[in-house]
Amino acid sequence: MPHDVRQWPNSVYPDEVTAECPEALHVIDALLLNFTRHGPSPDGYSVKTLGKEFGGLWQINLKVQKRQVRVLYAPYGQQIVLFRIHKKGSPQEQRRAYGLAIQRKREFEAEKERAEREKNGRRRTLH
Amino acid sequence: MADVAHSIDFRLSEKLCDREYRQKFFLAECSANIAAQLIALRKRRDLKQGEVANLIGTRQPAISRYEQADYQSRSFSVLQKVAAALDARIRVLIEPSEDVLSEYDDEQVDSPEAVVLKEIIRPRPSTATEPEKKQSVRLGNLFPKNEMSAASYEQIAPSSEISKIGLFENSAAFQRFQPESLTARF
Repeated sequence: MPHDVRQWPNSVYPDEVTAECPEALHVIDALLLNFTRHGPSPDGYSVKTLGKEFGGLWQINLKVQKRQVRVLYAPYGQQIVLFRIHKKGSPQEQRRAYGLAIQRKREFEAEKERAEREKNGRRRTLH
Repeated sequence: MADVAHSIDFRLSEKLCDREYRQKFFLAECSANIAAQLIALRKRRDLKQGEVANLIGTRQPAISRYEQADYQSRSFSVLQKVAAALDARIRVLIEPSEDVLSEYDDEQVDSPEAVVLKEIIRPRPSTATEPEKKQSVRLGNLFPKNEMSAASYEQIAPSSEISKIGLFENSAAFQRFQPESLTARF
Protein backbone atom coordinates (compact mmCIF):
# COMPACT_ATOMS: atom_id res chain seq x y z
CA MET A 1 0.00 0.00 0.00
CA PRO A 2 1.60 3.32 -1.02
CA HIS A 3 2.37 5.79 1.75
CA ASP A 4 2.70 9.54 1.79
CA VAL A 5 6.09 10.76 3.05
CA ARG A 6 6.05 14.19 4.66
CA GLN A 7 8.16 16.30 6.98
CA TRP A 8 7.94 18.54 10.02
CA PRO A 9 9.21 21.23 9.91
CA ASN A 10 9.72 22.18 6.29
CA SER A 11 13.52 22.15 6.62
CA VAL A 12 14.26 18.45 7.20
CA TYR A 13 14.48 17.42 3.55
CA PRO A 14 16.45 18.41 1.57
CA ASP A 15 17.85 21.36 3.59
CA GLU A 16 19.19 19.53 6.65
CA VAL A 17 20.30 16.54 4.58
CA THR A 18 22.30 18.61 2.11
CA ALA A 19 23.75 20.69 4.95
CA GLU A 20 24.72 17.83 7.26
CA CYS A 21 25.18 14.69 5.19
CA PRO A 22 25.14 15.46 1.45
CA GLU A 23 27.07 12.24 0.72
CA ALA A 24 24.04 10.27 1.95
CA LEU A 25 21.46 11.97 -0.26
CA HIS A 26 21.12 9.07 -2.73
CA VAL A 27 20.74 6.49 0.07
CA ILE A 28 18.14 8.65 1.81
CA ASP A 29 16.27 9.11 -1.48
CA ALA A 30 16.22 5.32 -1.93
CA LEU A 31 14.90 4.95 1.63
CA LEU A 32 12.16 7.57 1.11
CA LEU A 33 11.14 5.83 -2.10
CA ASN A 34 10.92 2.58 -0.15
CA PHE A 35 8.82 4.36 2.48
CA THR A 36 6.34 5.46 -0.18
CA ARG A 37 6.19 1.97 -1.68
CA HIS A 38 6.40 -0.30 1.37
CA GLY A 39 5.49 1.79 4.40
CA PRO A 40 7.38 2.80 7.56
CA SER A 41 9.17 -0.52 8.04
CA PRO A 42 10.60 -1.60 4.68
CA ASP A 43 12.46 -4.93 4.62
CA GLY A 44 16.23 -4.67 4.77
CA TYR A 45 16.36 -1.54 6.90
CA SER A 46 17.04 -1.86 10.62
CA VAL A 47 13.99 -0.09 11.97
CA LYS A 48 13.87 0.62 15.70
CA THR A 49 10.86 1.93 17.56
CA LEU A 50 12.35 4.00 20.33
CA GLY A 51 9.54 3.79 22.87
CA LYS A 52 7.94 6.28 25.22
CA GLU A 53 11.18 7.71 26.52
CA PHE A 54 11.91 9.04 23.03
CA GLY A 55 8.37 10.19 22.37
CA GLY A 56 7.46 7.17 20.22
CA LEU A 57 9.96 8.02 17.48
CA TRP A 58 11.03 5.46 14.91
CA GLN A 59 14.65 5.25 13.84
CA ILE A 60 16.61 3.92 10.89
CA ASN A 61 20.40 3.94 10.82
CA LEU A 62 22.06 3.96 7.42
CA LYS A 63 25.72 3.34 6.80
CA VAL A 64 27.13 5.59 4.11
CA GLN A 65 30.85 5.77 3.43
CA LYS A 66 31.65 4.25 6.83
CA ARG A 67 29.59 6.91 8.63
CA GLN A 68 26.18 6.40 10.21
CA VAL A 69 23.26 8.56 9.18
CA ARG A 70 20.19 8.50 11.37
CA VAL A 71 16.63 9.07 10.21
CA LEU A 72 14.06 9.88 12.90
CA TYR A 73 10.41 9.70 11.90
CA ALA A 74 6.98 8.45 12.90
CA PRO A 75 4.09 6.88 11.01
CA TYR A 76 0.55 8.28 11.23
CA GLY A 77 -1.75 5.95 9.33
CA GLN A 78 -0.79 6.15 5.66
CA GLN A 79 1.45 9.11 6.37
CA ILE A 80 5.12 8.97 7.39
CA VAL A 81 6.50 12.17 8.90
CA LEU A 82 10.25 12.85 8.99
CA PHE A 83 11.47 14.86 11.98
CA ARG A 84 15.24 14.76 11.77
CA ILE A 85 17.96 13.35 9.54
CA HIS A 86 21.50 13.72 10.83
CA LYS A 87 24.95 12.24 10.85
CA LYS A 88 25.64 10.23 13.97
CA GLY A 89 28.19 12.11 16.04
CA SER A 90 29.27 12.30 19.68
CA PRO A 91 26.86 11.18 22.44
CA GLN A 92 26.09 14.84 23.19
CA GLU A 93 25.22 15.51 19.54
CA GLN A 94 23.05 12.42 19.43
CA ARG A 95 21.19 13.52 22.56
CA ARG A 96 20.64 16.92 21.02
CA ALA A 97 19.32 15.33 17.82
CA TYR A 98 16.91 13.10 19.74
CA GLY A 99 15.77 16.09 21.81
CA LEU A 100 15.12 18.13 18.69
CA ALA A 101 13.23 15.28 16.98
CA ILE A 102 11.06 14.70 20.08
CA GLN A 103 10.31 18.42 20.31
CA ARG A 104 9.38 18.55 16.60
CA LYS A 105 7.17 15.49 16.95
CA ARG A 106 5.31 17.11 19.86
CA GLU A 107 4.90 20.34 17.91
CA PHE A 108 3.59 18.43 14.93
CA GLU A 109 1.13 16.41 16.98
CA ALA A 110 -0.13 19.54 18.76
CA GLU A 111 -0.58 21.26 15.40
CA LYS A 112 -2.34 18.21 13.96
CA GLU A 113 -4.68 18.04 16.94
CA ARG A 114 -5.44 21.74 16.65
CA ALA A 115 -6.16 21.40 12.92
CA GLU A 116 -8.41 18.40 13.52
CA ARG A 117 -10.31 20.23 16.29
CA GLU A 118 -10.77 23.17 13.99
CA LYS A 119 -11.97 20.90 11.19
CA ASN A 120 -14.43 19.11 13.47
CA GLY A 121 -15.66 22.41 14.93
CA ARG A 122 -16.30 23.75 11.45
CA ARG A 123 -18.17 20.59 10.53
CA ARG A 124 -20.34 20.91 13.66
CA THR A 125 -21.23 24.54 12.87
CA LEU A 126 -22.17 23.56 9.33
CA HIS A 127 -24.70 21.03 10.67
CA MET B 1 -6.78 13.29 9.11
CA ALA B 2 -5.81 16.94 8.84
CA ASP B 3 -2.81 17.42 6.53
CA VAL B 4 -0.55 19.69 8.53
CA ALA B 5 2.79 18.06 7.71
CA HIS B 6 4.74 19.56 4.84
CA SER B 7 5.02 17.61 1.63
CA ILE B 8 8.43 16.56 0.38
CA ASP B 9 9.75 17.49 -3.00
CA PHE B 10 12.12 14.66 -3.97
CA ARG B 11 12.90 16.22 -7.36
CA LEU B 12 14.04 12.73 -8.21
CA SER B 13 13.66 13.03 -11.96
CA GLU B 14 15.63 16.29 -11.83
CA LYS B 15 18.38 14.78 -9.70
CA LEU B 16 18.52 11.69 -11.88
CA CYS B 17 19.68 13.85 -14.78
CA ASP B 18 23.02 14.01 -13.01
CA ARG B 19 24.96 10.91 -14.01
CA GLU B 20 26.98 10.66 -10.80
CA TYR B 21 23.90 10.96 -8.61
CA ARG B 22 21.88 8.47 -10.63
CA GLN B 23 24.59 5.83 -10.55
CA LYS B 24 24.76 6.10 -6.76
CA PHE B 25 20.98 6.15 -6.45
CA PHE B 26 20.51 3.10 -8.72
CA LEU B 27 23.07 1.22 -6.63
CA ALA B 28 21.32 2.20 -3.38
CA GLU B 29 17.93 1.20 -4.77
CA CYS B 30 19.30 -2.08 -6.14
CA SER B 31 20.94 -2.91 -2.78
CA ALA B 32 17.69 -2.29 -0.96
CA ASN B 33 15.81 -4.49 -3.46
CA ILE B 34 18.30 -7.35 -3.12
CA ALA B 35 18.10 -7.18 0.67
CA ALA B 36 14.30 -7.22 0.63
CA GLN B 37 14.25 -10.18 -1.77
CA LEU B 38 16.75 -12.19 0.26
CA ILE B 39 14.77 -11.62 3.46
CA ALA B 40 11.47 -12.54 1.81
CA LEU B 41 12.87 -15.71 0.30
CA ARG B 42 14.65 -16.83 3.49
CA LYS B 43 11.40 -16.35 5.42
CA ARG B 44 9.51 -18.25 2.75
CA ARG B 45 11.94 -21.15 3.16
CA ASP B 46 11.45 -20.85 6.93
CA LEU B 47 15.18 -20.55 7.55
CA LYS B 48 17.17 -18.50 10.03
CA GLN B 49 20.18 -16.44 8.96
CA GLY B 50 22.46 -18.90 10.80
CA GLU B 51 20.99 -21.83 8.92
CA VAL B 52 21.58 -20.16 5.55
CA ALA B 53 25.11 -19.36 6.69
CA ASN B 54 25.70 -23.05 7.52
CA LEU B 55 24.39 -24.09 4.12
CA ILE B 56 26.96 -21.95 2.29
CA GLY B 57 29.78 -22.36 4.78
CA THR B 58 29.88 -18.90 6.23
CA ARG B 59 28.77 -17.20 9.46
CA GLN B 60 25.47 -15.57 10.41
CA PRO B 61 26.78 -11.95 10.43
CA ALA B 62 27.70 -12.33 6.75
CA ILE B 63 24.12 -13.24 5.89
CA SER B 64 22.84 -10.42 8.10
CA ARG B 65 25.06 -8.02 6.16
CA TYR B 66 23.73 -9.33 2.84
CA GLU B 67 20.21 -8.64 4.09
CA GLN B 68 20.93 -5.00 4.89
CA ALA B 69 19.52 -2.45 2.48
CA ASP B 70 22.51 -0.12 2.82
CA TYR B 71 25.16 -2.81 2.19
CA GLN B 72 26.62 -2.19 -1.25
CA SER B 73 29.55 -4.58 -1.47
CA ARG B 74 27.87 -7.89 -2.27
CA SER B 75 29.85 -10.27 -4.42
CA PHE B 76 28.05 -12.06 -7.21
CA SER B 77 29.59 -15.42 -6.34
CA VAL B 78 28.33 -15.22 -2.73
CA LEU B 79 24.91 -14.11 -3.99
CA GLN B 80 24.87 -17.16 -6.25
CA LYS B 81 25.68 -19.40 -3.27
CA VAL B 82 22.91 -17.81 -1.20
CA ALA B 83 20.46 -18.17 -4.07
CA ALA B 84 21.43 -21.82 -4.50
CA ALA B 85 21.04 -22.45 -0.76
CA LEU B 86 17.59 -20.89 -0.94
CA ASP B 87 16.81 -22.85 -4.10
CA ALA B 88 16.27 -19.78 -6.26
CA ARG B 89 17.50 -18.31 -9.49
CA ILE B 90 19.18 -14.95 -9.92
CA ARG B 91 17.87 -12.84 -12.72
CA VAL B 92 19.99 -9.85 -13.71
CA LEU B 93 18.45 -7.05 -15.71
CA ILE B 94 20.76 -4.34 -16.96
CA GLU B 95 18.71 -1.45 -18.29
CA PRO B 96 19.95 1.72 -19.99
CA SER B 97 19.15 4.70 -17.78
CA GLU B 98 17.21 6.48 -20.57
CA ASP B 99 14.75 3.59 -20.60
CA VAL B 100 14.02 3.71 -16.88
CA LEU B 101 14.14 7.40 -15.93
CA SER B 102 10.45 7.88 -16.70
CA GLU B 103 9.66 5.40 -13.91
CA TYR B 104 10.70 8.06 -11.41
CA ASP B 105 8.70 10.96 -12.88
CA ASP B 106 6.59 12.73 -10.26
CA GLU B 107 7.19 9.87 -7.85
CA GLN B 108 5.72 11.61 -4.81
CA VAL B 109 3.36 14.08 -6.44
CA ASP B 110 0.75 11.51 -7.38
CA SER B 111 -1.89 10.25 -5.02
CA PRO B 112 -1.32 6.66 -3.81
CA GLU B 113 -4.08 5.45 -6.14
CA ALA B 114 -2.52 7.20 -9.11
CA VAL B 115 0.83 5.55 -8.35
CA VAL B 116 -0.78 2.10 -8.44
CA LEU B 117 -2.69 2.88 -11.62
CA LYS B 118 0.38 4.33 -13.29
CA GLU B 119 2.34 1.17 -12.48
CA ILE B 120 -0.38 -0.97 -14.06
CA ILE B 121 -0.76 1.00 -17.26
CA ARG B 122 2.90 1.99 -17.71
CA PRO B 123 3.99 1.00 -21.24
CA ARG B 124 6.95 -1.34 -21.11
CA PRO B 125 9.44 -2.19 -23.80
CA SER B 126 8.63 -5.62 -25.14
CA THR B 127 10.68 -8.20 -23.29
CA ALA B 128 8.72 -11.12 -24.65
CA THR B 129 10.81 -13.80 -26.26
CA GLU B 130 9.78 -15.20 -29.66
CA PRO B 131 8.11 -18.29 -28.12
CA GLU B 132 6.17 -16.04 -25.68
CA LYS B 133 4.97 -13.84 -28.54
CA LYS B 134 3.88 -16.90 -30.51
CA GLN B 135 2.08 -18.19 -27.43
CA SER B 136 0.29 -14.84 -27.09
CA VAL B 137 -0.85 -14.95 -30.71
CA ARG B 138 -1.96 -18.53 -30.29
CA LEU B 139 -4.10 -17.50 -27.30
CA GLY B 140 -5.69 -14.84 -29.48
CA ASN B 141 -6.61 -17.49 -32.02
CA LEU B 142 -8.10 -19.67 -29.33
CA PHE B 143 -10.55 -16.99 -28.31
CA PRO B 144 -11.92 -15.49 -31.53
CA LYS B 145 -14.63 -13.57 -29.65
CA ASN B 146 -12.04 -10.98 -28.62
CA GLU B 147 -12.75 -7.57 -30.06
CA MET B 148 -9.03 -6.88 -30.21
CA SER B 149 -6.47 -9.12 -31.75
CA ALA B 150 -3.58 -10.49 -29.76
CA ALA B 151 -1.30 -8.17 -31.74
CA SER B 152 -3.27 -5.13 -30.54
CA TYR B 153 -2.87 -6.25 -26.96
CA GLU B 154 0.83 -6.63 -27.55
CA GLN B 155 0.99 -3.01 -28.75
CA ILE B 156 -0.76 -1.65 -25.64
CA ALA B 157 1.02 -3.68 -23.01
CA PRO B 158 3.48 -6.11 -24.49
CA SER B 159 3.63 -9.39 -22.59
CA SER B 160 2.23 -7.71 -19.46
CA GLU B 161 -0.42 -9.00 -17.11
CA ILE B 162 -2.97 -6.69 -18.78
CA SER B 163 -2.63 -8.43 -22.13
CA LYS B 164 -3.16 -11.81 -20.49
CA ILE B 165 -6.17 -10.58 -18.52
CA GLY B 166 -7.56 -8.89 -21.62
CA LEU B 167 -7.33 -12.07 -23.64
CA PHE B 168 -9.18 -14.08 -21.08
CA GLU B 169 -11.81 -11.56 -19.97
CA ASN B 170 -13.75 -11.64 -23.20
CA SER B 171 -13.27 -15.32 -23.79
CA ALA B 172 -16.08 -17.81 -23.64
CA ALA B 173 -14.15 -19.79 -21.04
CA PHE B 174 -13.97 -16.75 -18.77
CA GLN B 175 -17.68 -15.98 -19.18
CA ARG B 176 -18.60 -19.57 -18.28
CA PHE B 177 -16.91 -19.23 -14.89
CA GLN B 178 -18.58 -15.94 -13.98
CA PRO B 179 -21.30 -16.45 -11.34
CA GLU B 180 -24.61 -14.92 -12.46
CA SER B 181 -24.75 -12.64 -9.43
CA LEU B 182 -21.45 -11.01 -10.33
CA THR B 183 -22.29 -10.25 -13.93
CA ALA B 184 -23.17 -6.59 -14.39
CA ARG B 185 -26.24 -5.90 -16.49
CA PHE B 186 -26.74 -2.59 -18.26
